[in-house]
Amino acid sequence: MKEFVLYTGCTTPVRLPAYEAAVTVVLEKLGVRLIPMKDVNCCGAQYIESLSHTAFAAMSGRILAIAESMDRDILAICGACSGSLKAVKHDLDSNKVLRAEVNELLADEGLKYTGTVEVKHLLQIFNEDIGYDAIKAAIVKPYHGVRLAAHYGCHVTRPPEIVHVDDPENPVIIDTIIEAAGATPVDYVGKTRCCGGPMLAMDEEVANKIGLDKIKNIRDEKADGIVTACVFCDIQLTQVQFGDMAGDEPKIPVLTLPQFLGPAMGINFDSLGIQLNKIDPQAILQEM
Amino acid sequence: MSHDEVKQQPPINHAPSSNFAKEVEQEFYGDGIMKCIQCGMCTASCMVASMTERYRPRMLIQKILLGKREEVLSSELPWLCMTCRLCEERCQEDVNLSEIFHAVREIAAREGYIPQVFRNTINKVLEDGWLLNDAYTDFVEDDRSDLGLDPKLSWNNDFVKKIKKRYFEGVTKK
Amino acid sequence: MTTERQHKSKVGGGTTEIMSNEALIVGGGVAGMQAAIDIANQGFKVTLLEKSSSIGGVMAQIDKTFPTLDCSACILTPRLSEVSRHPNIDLLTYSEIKSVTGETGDFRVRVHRHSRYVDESKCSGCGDCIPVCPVEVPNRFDGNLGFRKAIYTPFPQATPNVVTVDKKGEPACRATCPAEVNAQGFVTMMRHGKFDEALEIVRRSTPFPGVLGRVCISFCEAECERGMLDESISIRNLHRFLADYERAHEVAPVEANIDKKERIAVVGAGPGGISCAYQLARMGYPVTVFEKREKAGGMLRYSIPEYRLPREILDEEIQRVVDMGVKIKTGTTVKSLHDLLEKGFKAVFVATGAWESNRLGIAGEEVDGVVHAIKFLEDVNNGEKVTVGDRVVVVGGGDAAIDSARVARRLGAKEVTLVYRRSHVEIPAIPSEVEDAKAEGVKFMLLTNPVEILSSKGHITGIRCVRMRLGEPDHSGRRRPVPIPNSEFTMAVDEMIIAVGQSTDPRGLQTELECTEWGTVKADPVTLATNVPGIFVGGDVFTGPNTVVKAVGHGKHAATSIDRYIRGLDLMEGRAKDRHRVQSYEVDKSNIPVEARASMPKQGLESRKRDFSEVELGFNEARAAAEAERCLGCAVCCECERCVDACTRDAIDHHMPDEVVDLHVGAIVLATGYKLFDVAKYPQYGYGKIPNVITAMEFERLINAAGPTHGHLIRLTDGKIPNSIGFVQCVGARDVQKGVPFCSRVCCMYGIKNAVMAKEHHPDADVTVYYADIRAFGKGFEEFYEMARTRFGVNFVRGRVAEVMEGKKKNKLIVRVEDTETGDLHDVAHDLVIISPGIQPPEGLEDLAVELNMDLSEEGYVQVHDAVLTPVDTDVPGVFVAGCADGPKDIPDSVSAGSAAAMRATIILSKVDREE
Repeated sequence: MKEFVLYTGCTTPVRLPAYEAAVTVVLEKLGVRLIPMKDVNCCGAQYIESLSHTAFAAMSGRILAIAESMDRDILAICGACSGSLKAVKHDLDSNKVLRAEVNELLADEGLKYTGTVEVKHLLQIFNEDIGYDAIKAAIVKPYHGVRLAAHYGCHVTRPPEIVHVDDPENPVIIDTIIEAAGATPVDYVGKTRCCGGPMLAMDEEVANKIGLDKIKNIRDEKADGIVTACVFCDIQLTQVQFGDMAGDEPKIPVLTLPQFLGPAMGINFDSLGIQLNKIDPQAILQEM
Repeated sequence: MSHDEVKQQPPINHAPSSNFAKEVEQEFYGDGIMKCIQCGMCTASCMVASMTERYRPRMLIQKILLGKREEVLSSELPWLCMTCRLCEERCQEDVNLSEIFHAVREIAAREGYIPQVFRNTINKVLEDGWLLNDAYTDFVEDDRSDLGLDPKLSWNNDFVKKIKKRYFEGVTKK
Repeated sequence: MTTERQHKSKVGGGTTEIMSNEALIVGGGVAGMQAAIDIANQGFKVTLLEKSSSIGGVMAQIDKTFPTLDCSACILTPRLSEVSRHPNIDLLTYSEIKSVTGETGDFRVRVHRHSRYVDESKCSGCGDCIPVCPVEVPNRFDGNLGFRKAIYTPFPQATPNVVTVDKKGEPACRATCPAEVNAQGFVTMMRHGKFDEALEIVRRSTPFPGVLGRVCISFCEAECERGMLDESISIRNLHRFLADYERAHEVAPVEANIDKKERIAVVGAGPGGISCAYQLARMGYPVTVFEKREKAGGMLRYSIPEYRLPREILDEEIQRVVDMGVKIKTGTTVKSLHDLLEKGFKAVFVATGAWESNRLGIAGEEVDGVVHAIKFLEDVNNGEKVTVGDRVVVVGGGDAAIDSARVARRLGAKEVTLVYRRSHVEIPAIPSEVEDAKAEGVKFMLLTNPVEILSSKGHITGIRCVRMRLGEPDHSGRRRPVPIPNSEFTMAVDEMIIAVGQSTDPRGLQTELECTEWGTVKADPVTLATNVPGIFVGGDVFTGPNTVVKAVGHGKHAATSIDRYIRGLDLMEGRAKDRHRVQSYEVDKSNIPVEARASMPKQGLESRKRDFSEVELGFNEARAAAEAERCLGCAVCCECERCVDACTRDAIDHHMPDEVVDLHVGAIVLATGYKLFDVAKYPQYGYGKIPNVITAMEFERLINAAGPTHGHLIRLTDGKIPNSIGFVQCVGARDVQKGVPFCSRVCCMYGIKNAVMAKEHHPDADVTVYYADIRAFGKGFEEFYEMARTRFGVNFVRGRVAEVMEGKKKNKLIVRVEDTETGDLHDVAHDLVIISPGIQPPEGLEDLAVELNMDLSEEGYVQVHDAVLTPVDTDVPGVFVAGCADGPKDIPDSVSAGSAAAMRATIILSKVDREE
């Protein structure tokens, strides 16, 4: 059994606990065990990151050091967290002065960053550690031709030289998994664009316009659902379909990747938290 | 009109009015801004620009290159980048706009220009250690239990005190 | 730009003697041609080497040049003409450099001339051969927009004005077939519904289309390249369809054309013998075939059961051979081979086969109820009443065993078990036969070997067997079966059929010749000549038990040998196979959808039970045509030879070999040109995914009158005229992230030129160019840009395009761009979007640089020694560069560089016999 420590980030445990549960149970079945991290802090993405680069390095650096003390690589399931941890790792590995400063702050907890841990996003676990053959072999109840649009997320795939996940202009990992589970991946205009989530703080209206533009492009391809790989994207693409600007069209269900894969692997809906999804994905799940 | 009556004009100077671009370059990841040729690829790729008239990443870079320090630091523009990095992916001169705007934000923060929402959020993080302490209701706790997850979330809030002391003393108070 | 660079002299110190005053120009584009002409006009001999089939380079593909809007062909073609007629220029097209040694003044260059299979001195370029060619491949000259035939000229003014046959080598199917049946050839004809012509191609190699179409083991199918993608082409069944089709329609008449006097004898009327007789009769020789048995056919008749090969098929095909003038004397046993020669036959082909059945070598083999497969099958095929027991065991795994098992079932055996000592991986029988046997209820007991035959009252009652496992490989390469101790068991049977292989008759006719220890004849594997001059051998009597097609192949090869022997020619010359077999990576399978092969309809199991009627029913026309469509056409030219028939000047020779030419030159000029950046590397522009997004070269071909649309600028998806056209500049140039930071120098101007041409074609269309800069340097360029804007009304938008999307109704393209002059963000709809790619070093330049011991620049171009002082010198003395080989350049600059390089080269050449 491969083991990773799971860094959930701030949002998932509170706003999308189903994602946390689903990823744990699905990965366990595919041979990857997730160990929860205790006593961690926010990775510092977006906010701390904008005000002080060094503070940001320290926030994420502490998480990296804790994983190092547990002697496990980190799995980050939020795109922003995964981007932050990888970017800070890159900085700490290449900047001695920064590393010394961060380690100084960590010293009295007995923590130290030396660079031995790797940070991976969920998509890398599927692509590199589990492999498509194993995923295909685990499918017991394939979907039959359901059309699904994959949404990768900006911080998951960019910048490629730091995150090393997939080709940012032409990503395929989620689409390949969709196909392996028997559904049909659907291409749509603006597939690599942002969901608008990070914009919510500064301008909610613009953020929602961006999200709805994506929903519209997906709707134009007559997709039955959306599969996501980041908690923020999932919440945003769901939320944006409610609210005044959303209009009267029937809502498109949004599923996190493990929630999509789990039922095809024969895992029961309850342990995947399907009942907590704000937009009922029954239409998709019935097609098995 | 005789030559005597023509007022002495200062020589026309197209150089940047301050070393703002150079200053940004010195910050973490601010380097590379000078490579910009103002081709517009970034703006054409920007989703924020497509949804609002007031934000144009190319123009923001232009303002920095032209040295409009006060204008840029005091505006909301550097904070409107949503860090999706599509512009960075596409820029053919390899200018990393999102990172440059982070550098600008850092300078702005030092001079006290921080949008209220950022201020509030940072205060929360520096106090609780994470962002959503207030949102963690009993309902959520129940949901977690039902899902078989640990209802107790153990977030560390000691470390952030150190961070606050070292890096944010006075900054977030303004 | 530096002037301090040290001269990297590869010559050790002193001076070099100039040994040759001839020059080599590598690359027949405009720069290379200029260099060639300038050197030649000074009186020196020049070899102009061009990789493709015609000189002209990229300029031949372009429609108009900038900034003058001259017709590119009008400027270029006089040069083509001049080069081809110049007495001092030796034009070597379709040729490449193999190796370069030596130094300035004394280079030895070895050139590989690919055969175009056309005699350049005979071909007049009339093009009669082109319409009859059945093979179509994407036309690279047209940017892969249109198609060309396997025999082609790239453009009307191609120089030399001869056709070229694009033949990659031997396709796997034909290369594997022992009889060299041209599978790619006949399958290609079938795609066009030309079944008679396809059959004629089959009949060049074998007289047995129907027979082999039913019984051949089809080695070809195992090697078929399509099998690398999904499933191999059903070649044998297609082969059979042709024979069936002819029977159902009009049978091609047979003409006897015996015009030679030398009589040939063939001993044995099996597949080998009949094949040899057939080929000799085609050549005009009178042949007599002597056959010991009552009827001709050999094992085809006496061994293979009727449900596999109906007798009338065999009879008809043998009769056809007889109608060609071959005499078959059945019921005649030849007593001595030497007698035949004495009787006046000029040569003899021995193909008596291997009819002796091998024994098992276990106790009890002599009792009743134990028969040998060969005898069993012969009796059944002779029409004799043969009874079988209720519980039959067949020992063996080859086709004879399977045949015996299935025949036994048909004769009423209740239980038939096939016992074979190796596993299903090693079983030698044809897989479809094994499948059918299983379907018919034959039980397969693999990894089992009988060790004793049990009997009572002289009749078999059972066998004792032992289980086997596979051990180390034996001399045949197959893993040796090893008995598992204490695994014996007994099986009750009342009949055993032994099919463990055949061998030649130890006292047979072939013993007159030198034989091996196994009783087979010793002969040369290529010429099939034995130790007795004039006597040739083939089939099982030569190889030991083997396949029908191998015997047929031997017959064919022996016929060639006999013909040469009679004419006193060398038997071996030119026969060792040296043709390149098309490799898997040479066949592009990227855009082909996965498709299963056509399945052969078979007779229902119930009706098969006691019937010897044919089990496999054959394809119908639709199925055959669909299956033929799946052929990948590996070698491109399929050697159907329709072109040979069409050519009135005998210019086409499909056996023309490649040539090696050795050159001794004093100076070399590299003018290898360029290729365009692959814009598919920018997925956001949708090239290859979104229709009507094309590249600038594809655009050139569309507006070119010699192009695939005859110069009509239309959308390829619907043929409609585009009313709104967008040009995206700077793609694959000035891009740090894609590793091409440099400016490609010509794209702005060619983009404007294309935009102007778009307006010329459709004055009412709105044409927009999206750019970061307009680089209109140089004389006339700024004026051209002005003219484009004012006179032609081309719109220019300063903003790099971020994305090209498909419009909602899917027939429009949306370009997302910021107009940086106003700061407005736009989504603009167009009917056609043209991407202007940057220029890249050409394919193969890296390999050539290794040969020349030359370093390339970081971007992959030829490194110029000093950009200021010696702009056409490379770092290798004696090697010069012109045109785009050292960096992007427009046509006038390329021509200047060509002349400059010519000058630099002739400085060396003029000093011949002296020191440099």
